[in-house]
Amino acid sequence: MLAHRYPLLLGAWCLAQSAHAMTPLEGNTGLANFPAIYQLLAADQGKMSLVSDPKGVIANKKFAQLTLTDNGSNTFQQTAITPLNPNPSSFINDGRRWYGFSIFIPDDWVTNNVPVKIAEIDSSNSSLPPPVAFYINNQDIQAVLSANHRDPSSSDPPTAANTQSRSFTLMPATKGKWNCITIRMDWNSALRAGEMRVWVNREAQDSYIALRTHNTYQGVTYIPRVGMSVNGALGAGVTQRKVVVDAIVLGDGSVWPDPIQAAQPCPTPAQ
Amino acid sequence: MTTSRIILSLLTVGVVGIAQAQSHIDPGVGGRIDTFDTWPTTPGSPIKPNTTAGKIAYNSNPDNVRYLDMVYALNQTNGVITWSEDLKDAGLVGHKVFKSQVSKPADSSQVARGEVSPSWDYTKTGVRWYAISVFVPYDWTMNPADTIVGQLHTSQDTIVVSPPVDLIIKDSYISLGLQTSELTDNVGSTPHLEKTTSSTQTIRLASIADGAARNKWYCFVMRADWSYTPGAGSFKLWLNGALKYEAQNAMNSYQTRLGNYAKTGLYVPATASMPASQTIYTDYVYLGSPDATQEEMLAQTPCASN
Repeated sequence: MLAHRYPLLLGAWCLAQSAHAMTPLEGNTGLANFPAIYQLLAADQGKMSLVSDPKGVIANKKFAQLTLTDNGSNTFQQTAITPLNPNPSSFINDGRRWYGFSIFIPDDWVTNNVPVKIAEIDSSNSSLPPPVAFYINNQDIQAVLSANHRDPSSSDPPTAANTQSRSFTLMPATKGKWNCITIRMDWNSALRAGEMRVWVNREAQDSYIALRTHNTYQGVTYIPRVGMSVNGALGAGVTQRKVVVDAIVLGDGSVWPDPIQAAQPCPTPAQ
Repeated sequence: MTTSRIILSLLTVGVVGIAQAQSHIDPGVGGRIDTFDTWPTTPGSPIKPNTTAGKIAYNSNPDNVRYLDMVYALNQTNGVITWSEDLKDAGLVGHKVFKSQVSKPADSSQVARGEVSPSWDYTKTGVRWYAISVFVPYDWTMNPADTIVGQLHTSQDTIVVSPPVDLIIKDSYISLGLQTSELTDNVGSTPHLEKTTSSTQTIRLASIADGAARNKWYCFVMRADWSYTPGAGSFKLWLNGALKYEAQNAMNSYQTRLGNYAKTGLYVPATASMPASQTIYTDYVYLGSPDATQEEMLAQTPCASN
């Protein structure tokens, strides 16, 4: 199944290597070489294991099974992964980037109203919410987009309190399947500038479009993460959660959804 | 809340009395009609109120007949609005509703519209609640043309821009469209307000591909804290009682001549790819004061009983 993708992916990889010195489409080969390319973000480093495709469809590729066990502290808890290469500094600038997040939600996921962040594109300004975040909340995956047009050097700088927030239901959180989110970002913090498009589960039609809409903060760099994090407890009766994630697919402005989506583990939807 | 609305609200309270004043649904604008007839002009008929305040006061009296032209304005181009009993029975709504039917014009440069708009209600800034409900029939023809079934539109002097909020059916999806800009309609400035300089978002809300998703009411309750100031304003949309979209610290409209107002029915701006005809049903539009709640607005709609 993957064989026909390799020429396309290799071409895009080479193109981006020369143009941006980054590694697009990282997700096509999985996480087998995890320590060299990714970092685990968890208090307990034993909360990740490499596994085969939980759907049993994609061979010769490793994914990360992540476990988040409630530590009872009622504080921020996280088991997530973030790419080491490309270095986050290569994400600096206002420009076009592609991101692909893929999360397998197991059948035994307990549905409740405690939002679990499963993916994000955070910024280098830790005092402001991530520009892009996705949560499992009840039966849905919700998108939460944050941006602020204010100048950090002005008398009215951006703060968490005055940051613009937009949240919406993006897709159902489907258990027993891969849930894939593909994003094209034209990062920009200026009013009436910037663009974002989101596709879900390899569908051809985009689920969210924002044109001439600012979507970030001035002067920041970007750090994508996938996994789980919660602010507090996991909820009544829930002591542990597990997901399986693929490597984050990264691409430069030269690609379109097809090669990004093809590098994600979701099946092609029925037409 | 604008000064004119405060005055009108006080007038409404005086007319309607204590019991209805406790409701946050405005009785003087939007809501049900008793007849599709317009105000009678036969000799001996009462004199029609000739001011906005007078019309709202008239509508606010529960003993008065609510004539079509006292509550709603119709906008019909290659389309027609009727008052239909098609959904009265079978537990679909229990009362007559508006039926909008549009036809594909021979000249594709023409639009097709059959729209109903509550009269006398405009909000420039501040909080306003809206409830718009549409019934998508089973035989809805899927097509790639943007078909707008609900709007919270702006009123501009001359500039044509997309509405701050539109509810769109395209192909097999119902989507929410949002447009805004802080620019004014000064065409001499650069950049100036126009469609191509406005911020726009499109959010997919629901699929109507499955037959079970048609022959069904879609009830949209919206709370807008209207603002054209960058970094200010909020907006929430619930679909059939579920919160689907929320924005905070986000401008959501334009500087406007009269204010933002609601519309429902069918509007096809680009008719080249629309089917030969299309039909939708729409219930009355309900408008709520800033203290209204989602539950209170939803209770007015057909979805409250389905």
